[in-house]
Amino acid sequence: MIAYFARGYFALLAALTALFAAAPVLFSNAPLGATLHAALLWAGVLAAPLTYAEVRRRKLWPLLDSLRVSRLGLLAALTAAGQLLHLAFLAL
Amino acid sequence: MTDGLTNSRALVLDAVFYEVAGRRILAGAYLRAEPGRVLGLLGRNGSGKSTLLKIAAGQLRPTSGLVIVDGERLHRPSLRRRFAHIAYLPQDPLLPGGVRIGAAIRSFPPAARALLDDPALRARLDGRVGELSTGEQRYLEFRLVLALGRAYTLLDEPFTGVEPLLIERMVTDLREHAAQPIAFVLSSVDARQGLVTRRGADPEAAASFDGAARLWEHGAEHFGVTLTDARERVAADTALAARLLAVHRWSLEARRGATVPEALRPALQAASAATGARRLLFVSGTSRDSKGPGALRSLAVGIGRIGAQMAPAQVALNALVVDAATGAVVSTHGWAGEMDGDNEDAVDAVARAVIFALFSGGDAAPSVFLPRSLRNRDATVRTHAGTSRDVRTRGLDGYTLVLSDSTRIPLESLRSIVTEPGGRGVLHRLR
Repeated sequence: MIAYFARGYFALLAALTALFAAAPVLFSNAPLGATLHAALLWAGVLAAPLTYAEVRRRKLWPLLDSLRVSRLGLLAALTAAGQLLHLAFLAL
Repeated sequence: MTDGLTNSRALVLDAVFYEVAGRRILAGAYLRAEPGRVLGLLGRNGSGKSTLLKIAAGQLRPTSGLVIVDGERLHRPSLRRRFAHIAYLPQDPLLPGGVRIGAAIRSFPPAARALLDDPALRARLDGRVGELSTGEQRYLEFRLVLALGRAYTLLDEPFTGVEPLLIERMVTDLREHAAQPIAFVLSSVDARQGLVTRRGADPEAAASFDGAARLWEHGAEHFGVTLTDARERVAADTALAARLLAVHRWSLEARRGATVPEALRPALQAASAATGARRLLFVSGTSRDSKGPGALRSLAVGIGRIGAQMAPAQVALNALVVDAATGAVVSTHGWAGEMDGDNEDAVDAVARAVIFALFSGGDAAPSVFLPRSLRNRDATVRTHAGTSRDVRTRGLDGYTLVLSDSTRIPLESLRSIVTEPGGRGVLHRLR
């Protein structure tokens, strides 16, 4: 079940990253490499509350509560995982 | 004496108020769920049943009030601790539609793995939850919540949309779990949902229920009081008033095993012929302030007119289950208390109680109904059968309905769900 929520978070992360990275490239001719890091950072931060809102909209908190998964802990872990990916990307 | 709050091993909601947008949903609601006891939560739409369960499960923060689990007062931030004791099946779907059924099952405790071999699901484990029908999804969620094995299981409308066959299996599961020290709270234990269950197990009893339900709707005509002219006819017709008064007095004195007077037999037989019921619900009362539609209410209103002539009425409503063929009184149910203007609800409550009693095979002990005037204080309630019991009512916004003390109640029906293994069942009624 955690994987299901993680999938949703990372799908959102990917979409936001693409948006944040592409916008400067399209509108200011900035190089993609320069915008990608900032995009990953901000997308990771923004994806957490959006995921929270989506879970709330779909009334899925009782499921996580029943499984005794901490709401805050889940979002923090997903955000951390996103930024770990970011760090891995930086290391490339 | 325990105060009902700090006593260990209980889920207690006390003096719970909940308001939203200036509208009061709950006003001083009280609920106590003890391990091994099954609670049914009855109430009309919008009466706050689901809200109360959400508050118990920490999904809503009450305007004021206490939620206490095993003597420990819980606050909203303590959801993780709360769910160490509580399992909660909300009214809305628990599982997201996009998750695979097998994955959902495997994310629950090992006890849920039995679902992998469940005939209703095993061929569809690779499918997604959203591909299941509403009833199948509800069944899956119900089984998963039970598999959590928490001390207190809150089930909000667990049977909604579920086909009778699966309801039977859910009922069986509940019975098996109810034998363990687990408390269930089922919201909206609906008589007709129980009927569906009952039909599968005992068509004859279901037919009795059908008859009682129809007699509930149409019985007044069989006693010469129509829906529209009850007050006027009784006021104008002295002979009718005398007959109804005699009937009422007889019903107050009737015991199980008594026989319906000869004068009433034709009416009961006509009712039986009209409804096809073997058992009939016979209601009499002294409700002076009943209002609203419904034959039962009209009947109560009609008798209420003459009830004013009686000595201070201790019994406002009285119901008997009568065997149509022999005229024998199968079971008796009475509402004892003060006349307080709540008799409309009392009529509703007595009818519900009798219908529930019918599920037990009509062999239940007398039921007791508390009017609102008895709230928030200790009360000794007398039933017309001469029994008495002390009932402590505190903060309950409505009625406490003690269904039965009988240990002989069959366990095949939904009625058994609101009956703990020892034979006691309690329904909390919200207004």
